[in-house]
Amino acid sequence: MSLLPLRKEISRGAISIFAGIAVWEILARALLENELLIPPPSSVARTFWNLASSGQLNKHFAATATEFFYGFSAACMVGVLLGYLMGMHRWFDEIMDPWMAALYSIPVIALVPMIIIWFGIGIFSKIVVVFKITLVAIILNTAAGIKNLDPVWLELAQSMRLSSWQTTYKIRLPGALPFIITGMRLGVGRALLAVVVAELMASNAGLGYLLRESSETWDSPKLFVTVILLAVIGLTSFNLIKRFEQRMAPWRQSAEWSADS
Amino acid sequence: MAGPVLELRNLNKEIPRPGKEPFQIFNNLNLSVREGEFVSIVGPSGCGKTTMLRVVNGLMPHSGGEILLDGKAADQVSDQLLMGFVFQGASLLPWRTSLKNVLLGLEGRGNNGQEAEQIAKKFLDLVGLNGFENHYPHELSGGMQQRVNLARALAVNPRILLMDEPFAALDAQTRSFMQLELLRIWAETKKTVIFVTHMIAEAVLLSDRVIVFSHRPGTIKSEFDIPLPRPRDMDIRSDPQFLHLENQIWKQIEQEVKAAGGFAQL
Amino acid sequence: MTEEQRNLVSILLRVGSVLTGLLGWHYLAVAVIKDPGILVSPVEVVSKAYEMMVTTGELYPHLFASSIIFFYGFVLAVLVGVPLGFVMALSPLVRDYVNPWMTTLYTAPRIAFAPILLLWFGIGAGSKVAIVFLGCVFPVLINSYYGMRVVNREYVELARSYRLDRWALFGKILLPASVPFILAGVRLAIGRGLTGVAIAEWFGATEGLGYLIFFAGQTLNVPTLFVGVAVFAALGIIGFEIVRRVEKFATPWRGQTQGS
Repeated sequence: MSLLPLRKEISRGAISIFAGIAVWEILARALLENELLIPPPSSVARTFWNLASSGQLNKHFAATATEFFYGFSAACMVGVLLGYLMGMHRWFDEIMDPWMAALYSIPVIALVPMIIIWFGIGIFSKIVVVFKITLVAIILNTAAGIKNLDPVWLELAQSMRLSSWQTTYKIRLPGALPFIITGMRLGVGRALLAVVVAELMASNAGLGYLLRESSETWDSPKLFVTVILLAVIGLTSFNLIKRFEQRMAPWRQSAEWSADS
Repeated sequence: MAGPVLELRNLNKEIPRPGKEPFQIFNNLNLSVREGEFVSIVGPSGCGKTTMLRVVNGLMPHSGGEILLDGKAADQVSDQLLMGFVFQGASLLPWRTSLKNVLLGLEGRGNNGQEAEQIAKKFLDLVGLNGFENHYPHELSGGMQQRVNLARALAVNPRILLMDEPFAALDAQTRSFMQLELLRIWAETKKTVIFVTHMIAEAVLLSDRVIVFSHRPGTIKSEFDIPLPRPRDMDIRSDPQFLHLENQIWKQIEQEVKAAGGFAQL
Repeated sequence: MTEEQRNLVSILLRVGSVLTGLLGWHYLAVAVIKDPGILVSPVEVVSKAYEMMVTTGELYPHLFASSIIFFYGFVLAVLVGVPLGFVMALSPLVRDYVNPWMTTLYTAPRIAFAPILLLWFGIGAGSKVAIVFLGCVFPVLINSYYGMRVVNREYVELARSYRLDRWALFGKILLPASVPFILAGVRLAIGRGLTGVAIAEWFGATEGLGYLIFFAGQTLNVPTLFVGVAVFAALGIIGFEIVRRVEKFATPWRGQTQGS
């Protein structure tokens, strides 16, 4: 495989980004002369530096990251377990199914006010929000993965006289892994959105809080810093999980873009 | 001479259907296979040859009759791995390297660590995959995948090797190479083999004995001893005796196909 | 067990599960929590829904306001997303230049852009439609792109061997082959569009389902909150079902359509 097309793609991408930023700077400075509507990149960069060096950015980032971490890891553990049981036992699947369908079809955002009423405006309600969203994605995907295992693999396990425990951790779980990771990927995107929404609605720290504060005080450079930071976090986590996916399941060619998120 | 390794007595398989007669897959099978023998089973599509192999391996229950291994009922010895199954598709686990795929059966018997790895490597060598231990299945060609499949079945040191159309998915050339490889490996390991195929020439080339299954419900229609000298190579395919046997077996199958309603029904 | 018995058991399990859940909820609300500011019984939610839908009809203006925003944002997203996806699939040049911006916009949490859009479009309908649009456009765009890219090479070669011209290749091969992908994108867009509506209405709206939910949340009006959430869920299910029907109708050559 030649690297040339790839290089071309990257250089075009870089040109596109630099040109975009330059146009933005010129537009903001020369035409609009109004920091409120579109602050020029230079002023956004300055604000970023100020926020970062004062430790403010760090504090809000840490708050969001903590909420995300606890909610996400708890959801992974519970989700794989429940999804596995749903995939293995039809009766359990049937009991869970109506609730899963309900949870799945309610837009995340609509649930947030309820969760805030129940769990308060502190960190715990955000952990619950992340947990709920990731959980549904992981349960559904794990169950699908277990149900869609290639029957030949199970026959193979039987032919090799693997015990049921061996069949679970040597065949079923690795076989369902690509699905589980897809669930995690879907969960990351949605959970990130939801945690910011929850912080936006009621909180005293976190990037969502920063978003609200800056938009309420009409502090556009600060608003742009937050937005760009969130975009970078989204992009980074997306790429990390894609890499993770390729590492954990190298036999699976992952799509250029995931069309489902 | 010792008794047969595998004996099937009046073996039946039927699938119950609600409100109807049960569906007969095969019926009244009697077969005995000697130590070190290479037996092929041919027959029209849907005659139950693959199902028979699965029943013999314990992947499906039978509906009547007996399966004897070394003279003992198979259900009583099923905890020991006495058979290796070579599946039609390579059925390799995509998340395991060749070596790890071969190790699977050994792990199933609690055999881990250095020693198991040595065994697995030995069999990968035997099938000609030295140097491909750490390749994943998707990095291997179809023929190589089947080699791993074969090594995996051999590594557990089975009493009998059951092969279900193992070369069906390969192109004609690779298939010929694999047939010769199988002959070599069989000569080296001296395993007892039951080989299901729909290619008559393949069956004649490989086997000591070819069994023709009738159309559903499957029964043994006829048996042919293949007295061709060994070691065999591809030239044997133009040997008059080979051609005669091939032709005779073909006539048997043709009869069955006609009895079942002709070729269009296949 | 026969097939019919199996189905019966399945239905009983599902119904039983729902009933048990509702009973547990009722018990929790009435006997354990006993605080209507936190949780109310499903009976009260249903009676509130009846009141809002039949007695006072106060639900409908909200439903209407949200539907309008959703409709414009959604249609705009399809009108922009599908052609842009096609162009990107057919021209590597356009793809390479647009890709970095698109990926950034797509992977960032959408709500982050809401305040900016509000800043630019004001708190009227414009910003709300823009927020919904931003939510819907990417699944449609990406699926259109993807559908056109993965069209089996054999089909394309078939078209070449029959000497179909460019337009025939597009209209007879590429377009029909990517319809299932586009519809899958549209299906995803529905959920994201509804989320977009909720986000949009949270920022300075005076009506709409999102407003209803957030106002109820702030005033601890739990029954109304539940009704709002349930209406959202119902809209999601109905929209999903409509697209599924359209999929079945538009792509009769496909067997069962798969969920994602």
